[in-house]
Amino acid sequence: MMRIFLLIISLNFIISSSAFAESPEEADCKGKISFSTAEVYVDSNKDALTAYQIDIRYDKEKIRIVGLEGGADGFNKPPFYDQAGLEGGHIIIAAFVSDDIQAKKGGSRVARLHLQTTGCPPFELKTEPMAAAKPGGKSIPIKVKIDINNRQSFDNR
Amino acid sequence: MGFNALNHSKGKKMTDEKNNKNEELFLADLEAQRTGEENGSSIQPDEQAADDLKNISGLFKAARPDPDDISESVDNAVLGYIREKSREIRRDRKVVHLFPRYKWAAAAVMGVLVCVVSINLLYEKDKTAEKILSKNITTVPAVLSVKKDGKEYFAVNNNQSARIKPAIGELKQDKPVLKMVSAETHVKKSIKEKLDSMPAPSAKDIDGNGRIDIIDAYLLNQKISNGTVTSKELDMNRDGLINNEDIEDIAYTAVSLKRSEV
Repeated sequence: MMRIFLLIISLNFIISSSAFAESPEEADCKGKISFSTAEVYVDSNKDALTAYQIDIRYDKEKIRIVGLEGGADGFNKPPFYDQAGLEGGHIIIAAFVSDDIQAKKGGSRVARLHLQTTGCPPFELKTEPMAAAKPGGKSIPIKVKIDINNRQSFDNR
Repeated sequence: MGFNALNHSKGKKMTDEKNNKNEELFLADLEAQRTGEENGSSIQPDEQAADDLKNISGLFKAARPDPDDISESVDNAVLGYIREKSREIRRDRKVVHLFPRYKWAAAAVMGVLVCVVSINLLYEKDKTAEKILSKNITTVPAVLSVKKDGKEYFAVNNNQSARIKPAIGELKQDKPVLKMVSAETHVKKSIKEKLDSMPAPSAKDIDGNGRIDIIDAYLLNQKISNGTVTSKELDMNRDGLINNEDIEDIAYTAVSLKRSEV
């Protein structure tokens, strides 16, 4: 019986050590600082989008938000956000159009985040829609998508 | 003299050979007597013994029952016993096939338990504190309570009437996920005390849905643009003016993070 327990423990050890073993790519990007942009898209489907509020969560050990800018059309101004959310792993961004004429149906690029990433990808931003409205202020459902791109790497070692 | 001595020694030699031959014959007789044979005779079967054997064989045959003579109940009992035994053997074989030894079976059970515990731990780790806490939330936004006929009513989640759940949205009786329950019957005293101590609905919650979000800022912007602002309550920063600063005040409230969450 003792042998079997030892066998199980050693198997666990082998599996976990192999899982945590560094691949050559990982060793290459470990500690590297990169800069990326993340495009935030909102799909309001058949309703015109006049306001949105999105909750974004990220790994604060790997990602820092170093800047925010607006998106296209009516959302070209930078969104509202809390400064504490730039490095804390959690940020809420929100914006509205100043005039209902600017509201567009379907997908819109509403914001761009500038990210400083450390280490190896994947870098993930988890989003959750909090509120959105159509002209008149009635609440509507939306879908949110974030695309991370344009990595530029700098060696920090 | 020499010739006589030679004859004498020759005669003695012949006598010795004769004695040896007699001794061999005597031993052969003894052996024949012991084995029941005689020189030149063959084995004679004992007829009496053969008859006895035949009689014994006849007795055995008589003692063996004819299969047709065995009763059905005895047959069934024997068959039942055999079936039960063969089932047991098959069962044992199946277990042996899966796990050659009971030790391995125990090890497999232990392995499965370790996996289940690990998965549970990982799953719990992934759960945010917010999700775990949401099971036990006992507060209700003030706007979701009303007084009617001297009784206080609360909007609660339809699925869990016994417990107050955070109900988001306008207080409407026709809202499918919400239903109204009397505070007296459904709300614990401690929860009611909490509700009593809650502040009045904020002026920033322009659409009155119990939350301050960007839609409130948008609505104030609309009101200012349309020139339909009438209430002084919309002067958020109390500077005597209702303008963009008040809109921003609502918007920043909407996106502000609780320090503990960051």
